[in-house]
Amino acid sequence: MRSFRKSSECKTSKEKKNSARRGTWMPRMWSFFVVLSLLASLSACKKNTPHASVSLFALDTYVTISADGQEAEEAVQCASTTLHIYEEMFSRHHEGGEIALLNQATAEQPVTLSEETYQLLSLTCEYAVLTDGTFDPTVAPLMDLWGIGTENARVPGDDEISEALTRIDYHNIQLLPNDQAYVKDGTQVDLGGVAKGAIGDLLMAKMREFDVTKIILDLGGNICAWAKDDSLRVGVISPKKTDAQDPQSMCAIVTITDADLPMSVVTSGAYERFFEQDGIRYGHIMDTRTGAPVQTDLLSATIVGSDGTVCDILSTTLYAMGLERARDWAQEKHIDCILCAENGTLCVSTSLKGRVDAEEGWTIEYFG
Amino acid sequence: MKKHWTAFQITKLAILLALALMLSILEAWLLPKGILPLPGLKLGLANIAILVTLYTVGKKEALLLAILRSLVVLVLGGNFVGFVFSMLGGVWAWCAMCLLCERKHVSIFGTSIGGAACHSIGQIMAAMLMTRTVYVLVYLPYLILASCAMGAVIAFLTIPVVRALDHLGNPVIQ
Amino acid sequence: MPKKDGQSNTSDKLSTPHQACGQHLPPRHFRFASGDVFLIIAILVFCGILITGMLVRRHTLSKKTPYVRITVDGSVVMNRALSAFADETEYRLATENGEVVVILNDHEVYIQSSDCPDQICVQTGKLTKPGDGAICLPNKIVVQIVAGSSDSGETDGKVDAVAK
Repeated sequence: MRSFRKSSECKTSKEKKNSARRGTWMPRMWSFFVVLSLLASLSACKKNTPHASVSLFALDTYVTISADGQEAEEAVQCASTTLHIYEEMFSRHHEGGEIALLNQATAEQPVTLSEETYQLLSLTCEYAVLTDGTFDPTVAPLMDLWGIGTENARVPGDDEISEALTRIDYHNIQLLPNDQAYVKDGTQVDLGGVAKGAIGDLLMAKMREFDVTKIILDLGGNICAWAKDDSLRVGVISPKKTDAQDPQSMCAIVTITDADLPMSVVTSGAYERFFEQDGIRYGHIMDTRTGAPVQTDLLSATIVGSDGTVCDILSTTLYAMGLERARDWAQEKHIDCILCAENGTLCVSTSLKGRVDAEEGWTIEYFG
Repeated sequence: MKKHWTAFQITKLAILLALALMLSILEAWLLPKGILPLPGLKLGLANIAILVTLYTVGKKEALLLAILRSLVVLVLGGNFVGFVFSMLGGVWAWCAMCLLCERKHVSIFGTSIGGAACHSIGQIMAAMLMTRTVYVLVYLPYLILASCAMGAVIAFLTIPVVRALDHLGNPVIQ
Repeated sequence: MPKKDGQSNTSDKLSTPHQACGQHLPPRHFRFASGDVFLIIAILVFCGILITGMLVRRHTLSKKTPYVRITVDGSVVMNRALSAFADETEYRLATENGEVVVILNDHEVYIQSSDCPDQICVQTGKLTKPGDGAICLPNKIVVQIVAGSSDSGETDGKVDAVAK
């Protein structure tokens, strides 16, 4: 109530004023709507923020680092330098690298690891226990034996396999206080299975110290992404390689909206690195019980989560478990995952409801 | 509101609101859900009360009534989806009716039909918000046509009421 | 109805009916007028154009490969060629209200049952051609048949990254 009117006041002038005001009331309301819609369309326009990105070969794969924001250039620069440091740190083939040193260490002379490596190693061991060896950081001898993904891929003999299996046991990793560790009985630690996830997390943390609004790390298909006040869409590659013309065909798209935490989307499956012999397809993920590539009814397993290292571990694990076990296990451990089954069904955690879109040729079924 | 409301006017609005609510309930009772072939299609009996308010009291009061009616139905029925629908529909219908009732050559018929048509536009917008798909738009022309027919019926029912109030010397505005 | 009221009101175009304090409403409000006819014709023409456009679109789309797309609250849960369902398939969707059962076979799709008050989606019947669709508003479910190539083939720009 802006003006309080007494009935005894001069009526005619007031009446005129009132009608004039009433006359302007409708246009004012319309202009309000017009301004509102203009504002809405303005906010839809993207502001022109600096963008930087770099692509390079590292971790035996193709890495793309990109960022948006005032210090995008610096952030990307910093990340690409740090990437190589971590790569050397976590590689068992790099002479003088921490993992190479760890594999030579003994009980008498344990090696002192950097904080990052030690933490990664202990996390790896933790999950090896949790998954009852389905995920094993000491699987390297088997990988070398089969050589899947390299030119020397072959089906080894049974005696070779049993010999290699004797050298595989994650219990042989001994973690000591003060960041010290060693391995027993000639076991070789290989963090190759988690390095991408771990490096993604470390780079993300580094890059977020800069003034940036959006970061997307693509470490050979391991996606780690973060965007401030924005949502990102991450596709999941289709494990069915029927369409040769479109190598990027997807089975689902995950929408990431959590602005506080960077989110990782990691897929495991034997659709890219495998070799075929006598009509049998051998994937690159090994079963440490049989010594052969895992037999699974899943085409791929994708994990969505805030910890890229854990996502990396779990995607391999769930893929190896097969549909039934993976579903039960994911439900029990509250893992957000997308499991691609052979019949074109995507089994998706209910917690991801509304965040996953099926692409052409796929059907979503929620579980949990 | 620039106007100072007397107890008389407040009572009047309260009576009209009660009337609108009664008509909503009556409609739900007469035409249970699903009897009409299109989603969101209703007779809109409560629009009688809104139209009466618009013609005998004022525009702002009519909007107030439309909003209050949706709110009370929400509180009574607890149906949030229905609330969004009737709110968006109601506001759209009100905008259209405000424009139409001022026109020289438009009668209550036109106002009611135009309001009903815009009500369905608002409803389709609400449905698009709800389902987050544009597909709902295919219902739009059918819904508009059907609601125009309903609007005509409502106008038939409203005219005697407004006329009667007018014959009484329109006590609503004094 | 006193006739002079009509005059007093038409002279002041800005005033709303109720402002003629103590006076009667102009009789024009009660009589079917030219503006009404115009309005009705405008609405009919508008709807006519929309319906024709939709029918034409439906006709052109009907020649393309039909794909089933099911959307729940805006996210796509099924996107497959209708021909993939050679055997009759039952697809169950759990919703807040209960369950929605969609039946698919190689030439048609329909919602068999739905836990919703209005049942409009069930009454919609069988969907056979691109452009057909059934909507369940209470459950926020849209079942559509779309033309296969309508929105595929443009992977670029659709996503920010691809996990593989």
